[in-house]
Amino acid sequence: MLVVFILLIAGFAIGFGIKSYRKLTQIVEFLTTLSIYGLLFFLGISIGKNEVLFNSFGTLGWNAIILSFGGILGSIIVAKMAEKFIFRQK
Amino acid sequence: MKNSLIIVFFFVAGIFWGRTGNLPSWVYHDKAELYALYVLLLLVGINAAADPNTDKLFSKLNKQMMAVPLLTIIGTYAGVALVALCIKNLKMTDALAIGSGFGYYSLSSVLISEIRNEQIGVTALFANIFREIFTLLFTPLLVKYFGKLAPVSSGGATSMDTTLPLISKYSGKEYVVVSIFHGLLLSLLVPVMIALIYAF
Repeated sequence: MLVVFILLIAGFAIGFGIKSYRKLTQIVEFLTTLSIYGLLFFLGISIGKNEVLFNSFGTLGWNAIILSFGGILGSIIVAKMAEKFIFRQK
Repeated sequence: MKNSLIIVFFFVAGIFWGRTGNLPSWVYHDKAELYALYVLLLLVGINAAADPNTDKLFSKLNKQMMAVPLLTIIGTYAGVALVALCIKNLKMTDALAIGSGFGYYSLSSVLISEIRNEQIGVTALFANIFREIFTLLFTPLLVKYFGKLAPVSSGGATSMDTTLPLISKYSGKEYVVVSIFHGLLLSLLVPVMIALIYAF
């Protein structure tokens, strides 16, 4: 997925270019919100029309909660240890 | 939070429309979703570079603050990898990709749907929405039992926007800079890490 990197870097270049034009950056923010709505709408459609996927919602939901919990717990434990050792002098 | 509700509304509306089966042909060929994803990736890059606060942000950063995103990444991957062992029929790469959403559910779910499949994409959607909601609900408790950095780490990529007000309130204003930096860097790393995980 080389295209991911190319798009991000192209975005950086454009971003630095339009930085001083307040109007343009506001438009970009608006477009971002819009494209997120569009993306999730399309994702919803492709799930809705897929019978097998729609019926496995329960299992996927449980897997998601377990994975999410693991990720959260791991990150807050590391954060707690870091606060104790790295940020002690604060 | 209001924004998240609107996003969930669009997702649910999409599901219902998909269920009716009454779809125009341009929705059926999945290219529409792919192009929307490309536009979003471009916009994420533009936003990061054009944000007027970025310059101010970097002048206030110190080395300790820069380590925080790394801590979140290490902790998340360790936790996700551990619980993934308990889930049947789930590949480790998929588990790590889902964890790589760091709460940025819109981008991660669609990207994973495109690279891998929709099943893992939906799991990423739920897992990362849950991460945001969990942080929104439990920040006061996280601060009490895991310290002031905990909600920043738990919030992941959302620590720069949706969960920032809570972090500012319960961890303190002095955590706002590190929180924004943390969220910004993780947001950019979401697509990068997902692409990298599936590249190997």
